[in-house]
Amino acid sequence: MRHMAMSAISAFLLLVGCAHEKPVAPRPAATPAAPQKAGGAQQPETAAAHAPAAAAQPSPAPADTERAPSAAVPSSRAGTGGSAAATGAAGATGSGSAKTKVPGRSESTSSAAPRPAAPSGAVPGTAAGGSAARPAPSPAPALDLPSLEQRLRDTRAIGVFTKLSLKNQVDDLLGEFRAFHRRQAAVTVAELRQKYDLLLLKVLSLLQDGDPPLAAAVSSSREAIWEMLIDPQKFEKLARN
Amino acid sequence: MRHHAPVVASAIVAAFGFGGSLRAEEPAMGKDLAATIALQGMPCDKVVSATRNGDSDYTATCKNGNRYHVFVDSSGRVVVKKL
Repeated sequence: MRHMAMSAISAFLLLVGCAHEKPVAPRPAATPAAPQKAGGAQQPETAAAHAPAAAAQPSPAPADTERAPSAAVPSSRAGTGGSAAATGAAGATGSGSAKTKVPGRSESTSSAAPRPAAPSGAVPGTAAGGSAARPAPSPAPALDLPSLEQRLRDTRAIGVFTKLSLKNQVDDLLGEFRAFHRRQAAVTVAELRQKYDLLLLKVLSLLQDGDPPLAAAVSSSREAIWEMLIDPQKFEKLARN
Repeated sequence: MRHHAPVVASAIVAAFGFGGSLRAEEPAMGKDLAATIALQGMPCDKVVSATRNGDSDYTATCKNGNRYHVFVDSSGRVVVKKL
């Protein structure tokens, strides 16, 4: 009888111990989840702009969700990157959410994980609080237009009709660029940029769910493509090809 | 008679499967048509039914009741006309 009582008490204590531990463990995971969703739309912009190379990487293990912005965001960022990029005012909110996230987690993660993927948009926010000096982010990768074109042709995220429709719109825009470079049209650079951004947004919105890596690649090539289009010599070379 | 059975069966499938509205490829084609319509700046949240009129020629009905004729013209441009 006494033996049973002892085991019952120990089992009860164990149960109580578990019951106390449970709320503690999920709390940190639950609170960052909401900010991340809220910030998720904004972070892509900074990531797409600052760390294009990381965007193409597949998302790592989701275990460390709080720390994940540095590495895991690319997959989610891939889609929203373009749309968020258009709004343009994402940086402040993105870093804000990172700030709220970091204090609760930075100590434990800094001791546990040695910063696997540093080059992300969220990290500068933490760096501001901690170490001040940080090397500049890596420059934009070289644009591989043929590969990007082929991937767009091959992707199953966009239907045939949609691809054809997009191609029509790309051709129209290229025609406008051609006229601009030949000074045959009264269109301004700002107008061309707006049309270019709009078209890229359409592509990104079509790709973001079905082919996030390609969306990330397109998003990270945004500036490189623009430079190619707006430079008369590069454009001429492009048109010849 | 056994020889003709597959032919008859395939004829029936052809008659019922490809004649009218989309069946097997519905979700993909519906999405494609919806995206195409949206790309042309016309409102269509979802295509609920689509009828194939010919090669690259569809009549799509959207959830909001709008009907569109989506086709590729002779110059290779995708045209969306509201019906």
